[in-house]
Amino acid sequence: MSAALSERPVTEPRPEPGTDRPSPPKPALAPYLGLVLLAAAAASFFIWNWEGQAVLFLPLGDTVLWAPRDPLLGLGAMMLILVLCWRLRVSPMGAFGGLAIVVITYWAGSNIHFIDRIAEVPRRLTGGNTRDQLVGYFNPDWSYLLFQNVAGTSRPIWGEWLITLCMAVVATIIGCFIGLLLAMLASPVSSLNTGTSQTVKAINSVVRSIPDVGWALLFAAFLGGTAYGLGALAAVLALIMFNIGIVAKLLGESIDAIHPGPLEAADAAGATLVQRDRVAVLPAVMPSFISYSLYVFELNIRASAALGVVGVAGIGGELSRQIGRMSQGYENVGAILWALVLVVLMVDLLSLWIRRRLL
Amino acid sequence: MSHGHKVASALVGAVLLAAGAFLLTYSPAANASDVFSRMMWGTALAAGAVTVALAVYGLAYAGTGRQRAAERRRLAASHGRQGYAPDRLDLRPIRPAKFWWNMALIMLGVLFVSSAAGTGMTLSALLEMPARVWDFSGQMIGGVAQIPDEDVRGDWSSAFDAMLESVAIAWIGTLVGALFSLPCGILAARNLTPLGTYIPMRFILSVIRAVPEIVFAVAIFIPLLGVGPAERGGAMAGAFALGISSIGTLSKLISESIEGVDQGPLEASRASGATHMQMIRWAVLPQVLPEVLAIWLYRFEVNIRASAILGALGAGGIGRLISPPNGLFGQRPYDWEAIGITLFVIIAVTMAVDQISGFVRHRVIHGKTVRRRTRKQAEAAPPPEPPRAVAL
Repeated sequence: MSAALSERPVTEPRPEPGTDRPSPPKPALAPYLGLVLLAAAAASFFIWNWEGQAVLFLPLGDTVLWAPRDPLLGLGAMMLILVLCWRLRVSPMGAFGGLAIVVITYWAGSNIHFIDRIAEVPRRLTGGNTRDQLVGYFNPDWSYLLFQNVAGTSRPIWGEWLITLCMAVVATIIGCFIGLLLAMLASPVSSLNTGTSQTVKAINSVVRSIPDVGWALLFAAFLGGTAYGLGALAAVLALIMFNIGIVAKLLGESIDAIHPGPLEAADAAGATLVQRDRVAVLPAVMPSFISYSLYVFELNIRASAALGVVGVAGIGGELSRQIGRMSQGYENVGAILWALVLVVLMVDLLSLWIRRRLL
Repeated sequence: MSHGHKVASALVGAVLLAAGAFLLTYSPAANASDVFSRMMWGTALAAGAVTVALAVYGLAYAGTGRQRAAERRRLAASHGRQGYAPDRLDLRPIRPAKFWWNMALIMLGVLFVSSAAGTGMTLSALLEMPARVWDFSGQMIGGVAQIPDEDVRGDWSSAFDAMLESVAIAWIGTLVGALFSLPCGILAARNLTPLGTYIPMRFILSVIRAVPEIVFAVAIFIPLLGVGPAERGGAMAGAFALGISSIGTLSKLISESIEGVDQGPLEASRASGATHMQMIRWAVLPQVLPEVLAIWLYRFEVNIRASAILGALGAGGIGRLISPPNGLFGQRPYDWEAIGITLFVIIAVTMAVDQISGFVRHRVIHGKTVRRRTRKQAEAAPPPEPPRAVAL
C-alpha cells in the first residue's frame, strides 16, 4: 500500500493548500466609475451651495433647502464607501445603495447640525442648567401628581389621567369600527368594485399622511376653539382619524391575504356582497382586527398624552403647562413623565393579557 | 336554547352593571372628582339602556312562547320518522351559545358610554363644524391653487424647508436606531445567544419599548442637545429621541426574523469550524439582511410621522412650523392659505417618501425580476408577507 503510494509519479508540485482557490470575481469597473462620477457630482453640488446658496426649487419659490456644511467631509465619506464596496466586491447596485445612504445621511446630518451639537454635549453636561434639569427629572415630585389640583381649578391631577384614558377608549372604539369599514372597502377582495377600492385607498393614504398633531390642530380650529383651552372633542376626533389610517391600512393588508376558500364557498352559495363579507371575510380577519385594536389603544395612550401639548384636555395639557413654567423647577414634569411610563407599561401588560386570552 | 342563554347572560350582566353603577354613583368616592362622577353617570345610563333593550327582547321572547312550543313539537315529531321528511331540512346545526362574547360586547358598550361621558366632550360643537369645514377648506384649496406671489412663495418654501427637516430628523433617527438595533437584535435572538445575555437584553428592549418617545425627547435629549430650530439643536434632540425609541421595536422585529432563519447554513458553518462571528457574518446576515432592510425602511416611514409630534414639543421639523406658540396655528385669525399649503406639502412629501421606500423595499425583498403580480397570480401564490403591526 505504502509502496504503491510512493511509486505514484509526481507530475507537478501541488500548490500550498488554500492558495489554489479561485478568486471571487471582481465587479465590473465601468459602473463603479459611473458611481464615482455620481459622487463627484453630488459633492460639487454640495460645494456649490456651501454657504447657504439659495437653490431654485420648483416654480414655487427659491429657498435655502440645502445648507450642507463641510462638503469635503461628505466627499471623503462618499469615496470611502465606494472604495470599501470595491474591496468587498459588492455588486454595483449594492454600491449604489451604499452611496445613496451616505449622501442622504450627509445631507440630513448637516441639515440638523449633527457634529456641532454632538461637540457641544460635554460643555452642556458640565455647565448650565442641564444638570439641574436631569437631576430634577430623576427626583420626581410625587405629591404633586397625587394630591394637587390643576392650577386655578378644583380638578385633581389624577382626574386628568382618567380623562386621557377615556379619550383613548372612545377614540379606539369609534376609530377601529370606521377603520374596519374602510378596510373592507379598500381591499379588492371584499370591496364593491375596483374603482371604490382604489378611491378608498387613495383617501386612506391622504388621511394617514397628516400627522396626529396636524389633525388635532385642524379639528380645534374647525370646532371653533382656540388651540389652547379646548375640550376633549378635538383630541378625540384627531385620534379617530389617526386610528382610521392605521387600522384601515393594516387590516386592508390582512384582508388581501385571507384564504380564498371561504370566499369561493360564499360565492358558490350565491351570497350577496354583504353576506359574503359578513360570513367569509369578517371571521377570517377578526383575530387580527382585535389585535390591531389593542395595538391602536396602546398607541392612543401615548398619542393622547402627547396631543395635549397642542392644547387639548387630558394629561398632555397639564404636561405642556408644566413645561411652560419649567423655570420654577423640573420635579413636576419629571413626575408626569415617570407616571406616563408607568401607565403605558400597565396598558401594555393589560393588552398583552387580553391578547393571550382572546387569541 | 341559544336564545335562553342570550337572555340569561344579558339579564345577569345588566343587573350587575346597574348595581355597580348605582353603588359607585352614590359612593363618597364619586364626589371626589368631576371625571369620575361623569363616568359613573355614563355607566348608569348605559346600564339603563341595556336593561330597557333586554326588557323589550324578553317581552318578545315571552310573547312567542306558544309558537316556539309548536315548532319544537313539530321538530320532535319529524325527528323520529324514518326516510325523507321535508321538515328535516329545517334541522340546521344549533349555534353554540356565546355567553362570554355577548357579555364582552355589552361591557364594551358600557365602557364606551361611560368613557364618552368621562371625557366631558361638548358634542353640540359638532353642529357648527360643517360650515367651518366648508369655509376653511375653500380657503385652503384656494391657497394651494393660486398663482404664487412673493408672500405665497415664502409659505411654500418654509413648508418645504420644515418638511425636509422632518425627513432629515427621521432619517438620522432611523440610522441611529438601525446602528444599535442590529447588534441588539442579534443579542436578543434565542438561537444565537446564551440565556444569560438573552434575558437581560429582552428586558432592556421591552423597557425601551414601553417608554414613549416624548419622554425621551423632553427628559433626556432636549436638555442634552438643545431646543428650538435646527441650529439651536431641537432637530438633533428629535432625531435622537426617535432613534432611541426605534431601537426597541426594530430589535424585536430583527430578533424575530433571526429566530426564523434557516438552520442549514448555520450547521454548515459550525461544521466547517467557523467562529461565532464568522457564523453570524456568513450564515445569518445573508439570510436576514433583506428583511432587516425592509424593517428599517418601515420604521423610516413611521418616524417621519412621529417627528411631527416631537416638533410640537420644541424639537424641530414640521411640528414646529404648525404648532401653537409661534407656528401657523399660533395666533388668530389663522392664515388658512398658508395652512393649506403646508398640509399639501406634508401630504405630498410623505406620500412621495412612502412610494420611494415601498419601491426600494419591494426591490430588496423580491429582487429585480419580480414585478407587481396580477391578481390571479397573487391568489394562486401564498400571501407574500404578513402585515407588521408592531412596526407602525
